[in-house]
Parts: sequence; structure tokens; C-alpha cells
Amino acid sequence: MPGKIADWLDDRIGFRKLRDALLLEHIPGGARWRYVWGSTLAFVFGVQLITGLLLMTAYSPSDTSAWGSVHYIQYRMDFGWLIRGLHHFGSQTMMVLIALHMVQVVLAGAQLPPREFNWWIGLGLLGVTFGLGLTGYLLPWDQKGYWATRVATNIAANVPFVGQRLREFLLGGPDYGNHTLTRFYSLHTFLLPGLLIVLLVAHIAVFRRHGVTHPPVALPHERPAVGTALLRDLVLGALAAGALYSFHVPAVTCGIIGGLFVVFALSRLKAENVQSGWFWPEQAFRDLVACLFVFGVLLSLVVFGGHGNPVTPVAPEDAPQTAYQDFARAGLKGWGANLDAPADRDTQGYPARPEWYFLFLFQLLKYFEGPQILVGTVYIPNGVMLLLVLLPLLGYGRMRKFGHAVGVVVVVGLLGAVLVLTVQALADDSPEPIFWGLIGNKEVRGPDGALDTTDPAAKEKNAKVAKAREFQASLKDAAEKARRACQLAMSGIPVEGARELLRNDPQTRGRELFKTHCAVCHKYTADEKDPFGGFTEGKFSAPDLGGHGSKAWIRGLLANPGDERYFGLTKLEGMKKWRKGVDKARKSASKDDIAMEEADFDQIAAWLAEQAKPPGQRDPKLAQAGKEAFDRQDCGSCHSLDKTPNSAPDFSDYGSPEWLRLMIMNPGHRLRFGQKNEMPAFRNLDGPGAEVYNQEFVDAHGNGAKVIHLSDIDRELIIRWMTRDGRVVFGGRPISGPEKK
Amino acid sequence: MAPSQDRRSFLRLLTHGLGTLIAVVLGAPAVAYLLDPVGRKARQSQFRLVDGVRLDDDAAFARGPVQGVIRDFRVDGWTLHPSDVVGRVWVVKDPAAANGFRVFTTICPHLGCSVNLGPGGGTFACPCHNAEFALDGARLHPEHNPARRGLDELTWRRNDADPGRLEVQYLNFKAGEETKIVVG
Repeated sequence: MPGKIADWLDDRIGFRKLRDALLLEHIPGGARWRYVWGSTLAFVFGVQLITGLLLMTAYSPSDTSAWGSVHYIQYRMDFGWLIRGLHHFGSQTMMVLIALHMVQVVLAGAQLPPREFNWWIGLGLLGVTFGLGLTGYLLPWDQKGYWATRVATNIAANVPFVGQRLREFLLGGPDYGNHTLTRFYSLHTFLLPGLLIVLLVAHIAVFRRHGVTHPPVALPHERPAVGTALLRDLVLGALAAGALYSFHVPAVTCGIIGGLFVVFALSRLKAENVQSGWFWPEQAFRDLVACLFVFGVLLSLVVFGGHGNPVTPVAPEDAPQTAYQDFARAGLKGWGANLDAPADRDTQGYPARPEWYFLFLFQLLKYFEGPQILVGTVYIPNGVMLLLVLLPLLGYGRMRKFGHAVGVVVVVGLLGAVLVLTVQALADDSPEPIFWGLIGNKEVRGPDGALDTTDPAAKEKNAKVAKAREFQASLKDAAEKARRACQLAMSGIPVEGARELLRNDPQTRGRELFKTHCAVCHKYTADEKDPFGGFTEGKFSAPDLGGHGSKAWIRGLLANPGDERYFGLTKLEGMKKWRKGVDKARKSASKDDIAMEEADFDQIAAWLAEQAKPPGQRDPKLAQAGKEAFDRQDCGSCHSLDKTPNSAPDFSDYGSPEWLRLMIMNPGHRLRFGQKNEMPAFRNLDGPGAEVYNQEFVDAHGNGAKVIHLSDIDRELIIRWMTRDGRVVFGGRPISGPEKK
Repeated sequence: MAPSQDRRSFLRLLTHGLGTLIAVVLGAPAVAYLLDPVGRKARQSQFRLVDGVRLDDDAAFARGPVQGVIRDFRVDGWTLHPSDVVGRVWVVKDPAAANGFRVFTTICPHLGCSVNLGPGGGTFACPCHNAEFALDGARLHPEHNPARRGLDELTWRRNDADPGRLEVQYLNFKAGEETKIVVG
């Protein structure tokens, strides 16, 4: 039945003719393993097309949404990490395969006449692939891509005559942003792949016209024995399986690949020893084994590469429930490709490096200074391209042998140069020698063990080590920020864009703001393991806010309010006087009374510490006992619990963000420290409406009140840092826009 | 069959197998990835405060139905809107209703356009396909009304702290059906 349907279909559309034209290619001299590289390239390009189309269904090219959509693909969509990972590492795999393909071509002399055009088409394919790598690197709109692309496009701007125009054309204007993304996106997803497909079709068509460049076909008695061929298959299989194993491919898969070689080798015993062959199935089988090999490497890079940032899911629907979901959302475990922190133009000293396959160009740049830069960026790369273009022309007539040799020397030499430059670039960035100590920076120390600063050569070497160290440190810092951003984004990204995640992150930004505005007077003691950190160095003049409002902090205050941690450095005397009274009374009090009083203090501390929580989450049992202890100790004679002004701070919602907000914006308020207060008020003095609030503030406190500007967002960041609340501060920006004419 | 023919068909079989293997390894996750949004749940609906309406504002209700807006945080893929309009409701004072008021979603039960007040304010009218509803939500002109059911009424209650305000359990319903089917 299926045969009949196929017959019917073939009768209508003639698909068998097309299929035969594609598959029934005669290969003089027989199919060979060495012919597989072109097919693996086409295969990986196919993988790129499929994964690329899938990514397009979820990616959003704009300044505010690009990073967020990639993050969503990576961490929240089923198998998004796999699709993105395959695409990411697929581009790198293509670069490696291109190198292998080119070597195979020049070894065979396949660039020589009459195949010149196919060599030129191939060079076109190389250029387009580079273009795809360059444009794709930007699309996640993360720091890596952003800064690397800035460098690349500024190089373009240096091209004589048209450079600046070229840069504007590529960027979609004078600066990087929405238009850069839309342009790179259309280049990357339509123009360049379209061009690649056209060139690839031409490449294959021209290839088929001239056929494979095979060695002279051997006469029957010159053919290698079956045993030799069989042995060669087995060796290749062992190599392939070993290579896969070293790439952390699971042993089962390595076994399958190795087994395929064995099966294939043994099948030779059942065949006549013929040297002519056909693409289908002799070569196709070899090609597919090679594709499976490449795919195995690619998959293991994605799964075992350890390049992603592991994050903890926040929303319940993101958390995997089953083993299947655990695998489908393995991006959460750090599987797949890396995602750097969101692109932020406001970054100091980002350690920009291009993707590794462009490192040789990056390294080349370093050797040319000032106006010579064009030599490294334009003249040498284009000179090399020109040399490659000229290679086939050396193959005419009697020059053929010479041309063949030159081709091998040039291509292998160039690849060697690329390798050396790449290794040198890596070595320059490492403070220690790399590749088993063969190359790299090394500190020079004098006989006393200190860094040698007398010998100029040693000095220069040590300076290089210092530079590499700095680079590694900023790399580590960038990686830390990337992890933080990926984690923060699990709770959702502000409409203003993903860069606001780090700009409005309490843990990092809140800490900086506390340092600027608060740590001038306040100490903040924090646990060493606390990721929010604290401030303990410096001269302080106000209470230590580390653990402010916690049970331990309050309990300590009740025990010794005159301690530097509490009011020791301030002019606030109320609690100190109270404690003196307590100590005086205790001299004549019984042990039991003192113990009861201590128990009351414990109770009060535990209960007050509860007040920072939202009302619904407070322990009702504590509320009862705490309030009773509060009343027994007559705290209410100075403090209030219901926002009625008294002589000491009000305790309603004590330690909560609301309590802190009034403390920061109006510390002299009657519900806080009133007239005794020394702390300036931190208020937003900018933006619409601010003048109204501040006029009211002056009306209430007189002109003498000290006011320092602190924007609403910055204040909330400080409050969240103090309360160890890591949620990003959203919105609330002052209304702004272009200045009114 | 000659031995080399044997080998060729064997290789052909293996090649087909390999091709299928690669296609499955790549294809299965690709399909799962494409189907990712299918079946993703919308947020659980709960009672949310309605802005712009006071039940004790008799003057407003004397003029007709009052529109209220429900704001809440909204997740759109990767974006989190801390306070966005989730939806709007029409609040109608109706002595015949259980608690004196009816609350309707503004979304037309026909195909999801936003329902306005009709000319004169005595009816609800959809601007898209001329569906019309009475102020109690009932379908008007059943002979040429494209909607298959009346306006979708929402469950509401008075706010504990301020009984003048109302809270609504905001829901979306499947369009074009004869009965109300909750879709989140």
C-alpha cells in the first residue's frame, strides 16, 4: 500500500527523479571518510536553521525586551536551554568544521582548476558564517555581546572614507539600541542565512558538476586489502569514540558511535573489494556517522559544558515537579549556553572579549598602535582574504603541483597563525602560564621573594601579570553580576528593561547607596556569610544598624542602651536614663524580681521584633504576652503603639519598611525621635510634586531642618538592603522627558 | 543477490536508522519547546479591589452604570508589571439583584471586544458586531444579536475596611459560547 501511494505521488510530482538526482552521485575511487566534512557543515547549518527558527518564535529584538526574552527561553520554556544551547555551540562548531573542511580541500587540491569558482563560493560562505557569528553574538543583548559589538562596529568605523557611514548604517544611527538590534536581527535571521542558502546551493551544484577531487583511481592489484580497510575503520572508530568520551559524551553514545564503525568495518567482509562507489548509501552512511559524531559533541557541550548560570525558581509554575520537567527546564541547573548580565551602557571597565573564534583578530589588534590600527583591522584581514582568493590561480598548467603545495602551506599556515594568536590572547589574559606551563605570564621575583621592580624587563612582566589579574577579577565580578541578574529575573523583569534589575537590586545597589548616605554615621555589622554585606570600617557617630529591629538587637539595647552599638555615640539620653533607673532599682530587688524583669525584656524583644512583619504574619500568642510585658515595664510612658505622639519613638510596625521610611524621610517626626534627633531628613527634592511635600516639611520644622536629597527609588533600595529584602525595586521613577521648549 | 548488494542494503538500513535517530533527538525537544505555551495556567483569580466606583455614591449610580478598573500585578512572559490594569467592570445598581448591585466584565461574550454604554445610556452595546445587552446583562434582540449569552456577571463583595468599595473576582470567559466557561 505505501508503495502504491508513492507510485501515485511520483506519477504526479516526480519526486523520485529529484531524489535520484540528489543521491545517485557516482564517486570515482569510492566513498571515503575524509569526504565527510562538507556534509557535517551542511548538517550543523541545518541544526542552526531549525534551532534559529525555534528561537525566533520566542525572541524579541528590542533594547528593553531582548535580554528578558532570552532569559525566558533559557530558564522558563521547556527545552529552551537545549534549543538555545545547540544554536550557541552550533555556531562555534561550524567554525571548527570550516577549518577542517578547508584543510581537506587544500590537501586534495580541490581549489585548483577547474574548481576555482567553488573555492571562491566557499570563501563567500566563510564570510557569511563570520557575519552570522558576529550578528548573533549581539542578539541576547547581554554585556558580552554588547561590549564586543561596540568594539567590532568601532573597527568598522575606522575603515577609510566610508567607515563612519558604515557604522551608522549597521547600528541604525549614531548609538547602540533598538535599531541596532532590529538591524542585526534581520541580518542574522533573514539576509545572511538567505545568502548562505543561495551560496550553499551554488556550492553543492558546482561541486556536483566537477565531482569529488579524488586521488588517482587504483588498479585492481593496487587496491589495499580488505583487512587494511577494515583495520582503518576500526582505528577511526576508536578515535571517534575516544574523542567523544573526552568531550564527556555519555559512554552509551560513545559505544553506539564506536559500534557503528565496527559494524561498518565488518560489513566489508561481505562485500567485493571495489573502489568505485556511490553517494547513496556508501558515502551517505559515512556522512551520517560523522554528523552523529558532531551532534554528540554539540549536545555534550550544551549539557555538560557547565556554561550556564544556575538559578533557583521563584514562581511555583517555574519549579520542576517531575523528572521530565527537571530535564525540560535544565537551564535552571546551569545547563546550556551562558547568559551574561543585561547590556548596560553605564558599566565601568567591562572586560570585553569577542567569542573565541574571533580572538585571533582581537589579538592582532594589540600589535598595532595609533594610526596603524588599520593594519590590524583592515589591511591584514583583507590581505589574507585576497591571498585566499588568489590561491586557485596558481593551479594553471605546469604550475599545478606548485599551486597545490602553496595552497596547503598557506591554509595550514594561516590556521596555525590563528591558533597561535588565539593561544597568545588567552595567555595574555592569564596571570599564570597556561597549556602545561608552556606559554603565558609569570611573575618575576627578586632574591628576597618580593616582586622585582629594578629590572625594567621584569617590571614589565610583573605589570602584565597585574593586568591579567585585574582582568580575571573583573571577569569574576562580571560573572557574579550575570548570576545575580539571571536570578533576579526569575521574579520578573521591569518594563523599563532588564538592565534595571542590577541598577535597582537592593543587594548590590542598595549596599552602595547605604555606603554613600548612611555608613557615614551608621555602622552596619553583618554576618560574614550574609550576601548583602555590612560596613564596619570607619568612624561612626550613630547606632549600629546591623540587625536593627531584630530580637537580639532589641534585647541588647534593653541590656545596655549606652553601648556604642545603640545610643552610646548619640545625644539620645532617654533609654540610658531608663537603664540607670533599672540598675538602681535592682540593687534592692530580689533575685526573683530581677529574673522576672529579664523574662519581660526577652518577651518585649521577641514581640517588638515581630512588628516588622506584615500584620497577618505576626504570632498572636507573642502579641498578647509581649504587650503585657510592655505594660508591666511601663514602656508606654514614653513609647506609643498606635501612632499617638509621645516622648519617644512610636512602635507600630517597628522595624518594617514603613517604619524605616518615616525614620529616613522625617527622623525628627514626633512619632520618631522628635526634637532630640540629630539625623538629617533624606527626602526626594526632585520631580513633580516634590516642592509641595518639602514646603510642608519646612512649614512643620522651620527652615533650620537639615534635608539631604535622596530619590524615592534610592530610598527604597536602602530600606530593602537594610531589611535584607532582595526584591528589585520597580517603577516609581520621577516623571521626566525632553526639556520643554 | 551479490554480496556487495547485501552490504549496500545493510548500509541503506543503517543510514535510515541514523537519520531517524538524529531527527528524533532534535525533533522531540523542538516539539516540546513549541508546545511550551499550550496549557500554561493563567494566574489564580482572587478578590481584587475595584477603583473608580463607590457603592454609596448614589449620584453616580443615578446617572447609570459606573465603570470601575481593577489593577494588580501582571506577568507578561518575562515582564512583570507591578500595577497594571487587569480589566474593567461595569457596576449597575439593580434592586432586583441579590445585594443591590450587579457587576459585569466589560468584555463582550461574543468575541471579546470591549462593551460600551449604548446611546442614551439605557443599554450596553458592543461596538464591534452590534451585540446589545440590557442593563441587567440580558441579551437584547435575540433574533439578530450575535452574542450567544448575556454579559458575564462577576462575583463581588464589599470591602471589609471600607464597605463603600467593592472587591471583584475578576475572570475571563471563553468567547462565543452559550454558557460561561472560565479560561482564567
